[in-house]
Amino acid sequence: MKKQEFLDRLKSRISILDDEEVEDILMEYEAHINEKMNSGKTEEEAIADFGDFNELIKEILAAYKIKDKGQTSSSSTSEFQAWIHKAIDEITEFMRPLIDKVNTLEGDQVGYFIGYIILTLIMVALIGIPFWFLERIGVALLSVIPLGVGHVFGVVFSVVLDIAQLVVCILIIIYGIQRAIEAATLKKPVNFGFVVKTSSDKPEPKTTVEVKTKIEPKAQPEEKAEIKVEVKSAPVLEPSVNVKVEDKASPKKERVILPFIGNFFVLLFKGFVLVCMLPGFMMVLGLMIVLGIMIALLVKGVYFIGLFMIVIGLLGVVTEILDIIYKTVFKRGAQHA
Amino acid sequence: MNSQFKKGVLELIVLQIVSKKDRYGYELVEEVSKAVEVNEGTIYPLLKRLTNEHYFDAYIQESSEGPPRKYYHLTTMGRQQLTELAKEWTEFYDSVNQFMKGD
Repeated sequence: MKKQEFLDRLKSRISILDDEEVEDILMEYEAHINEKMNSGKTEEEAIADFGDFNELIKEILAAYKIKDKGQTSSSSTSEFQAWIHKAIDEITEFMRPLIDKVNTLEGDQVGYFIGYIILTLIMVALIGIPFWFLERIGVALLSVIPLGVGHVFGVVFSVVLDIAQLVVCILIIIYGIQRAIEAATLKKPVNFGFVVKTSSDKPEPKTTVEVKTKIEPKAQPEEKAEIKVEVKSAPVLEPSVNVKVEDKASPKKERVILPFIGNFFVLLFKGFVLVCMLPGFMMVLGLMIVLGIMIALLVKGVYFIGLFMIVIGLLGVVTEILDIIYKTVFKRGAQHA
Repeated sequence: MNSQFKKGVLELIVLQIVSKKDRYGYELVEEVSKAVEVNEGTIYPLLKRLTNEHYFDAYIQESSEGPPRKYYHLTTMGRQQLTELAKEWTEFYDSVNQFMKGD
């Protein structure tokens, strides 16, 4: 586990405490990890020394005489969230070449912003597929029940599914926009930390890419902690125009490889699967690439607000297009059924 | 060593260390590790609890190297607690030892 991930997880699990206490605890743990790293340990080792994470949370909460019930009660929602995050990260990985392309064209965080917005849209579009299938199957099964009861159940079923889909979409959009805004406001491209662990030199390795957003300034509690403390503006805050994606952890550098060829094959394979799954998706993809490049070119020299307006406008256009495609697909499906 | 043993004694050790001089978290963890093998993460919750129970005062101090550190200082109440615990520990240790020798 990386430091930031550890601190984020810690923060979410002790959020029941006062903000001040949470800040305080995070500061202590961060300081400890930093000292450990100064003494020559890696982030992972320093965090591993804390032992079992859940045990740690229990101990911390016990210090406030609070029993940790996060394990049982909220596990379903947090797991659900984790699942969504994971899904988005997967898609991010899949879309990475595209984002890179947009990014190098723009050479700025702006590319990432657009990338994330597009990603979010694609995610929202994709999530529609399983829901659509479920709905069709459910309605078909329920219509077997005679006397019109099946029809009523069918309607209720579709409504419930629609609501569920809406909730999922909203969650995805919120998450996506959060990330996009992080990428844009930090004036720094989101660190995708291209840590590609290749198992061997197989042509199509199962690549796991850690997609990790580094939110540096949040992790600097000193900013609030003390008045006499000089607020050290983290170097990330300095506006830099031409920032390239770089991996922070220098000891990791040896392992940071970009097997372009392998990635290309993986991409091809995934693309193929996707084409089989959803005809017409490639069309959207192509359209988005074109739009992305178009915007990237347009934005050169355009101020950020202008860009924002364009993205918002684009959002509308793309949703409209997706909507139309969905309608056609739906109709075709209905005719077959 | 049995973790249940450790938990009980840990408070005594931490109080003892801070009674000598004010310490900051990481330093304290290092000191404790000299005495007993301990899971580092669990010391911070203990420091929290001891502070909440007013055995410790915590204050922030600039350090020459890196960001400011949070130091812990033993209060009068803390000192009483230390004496109390030390006494309990000695009694406990003696009686268990007595028993283990058996007769």
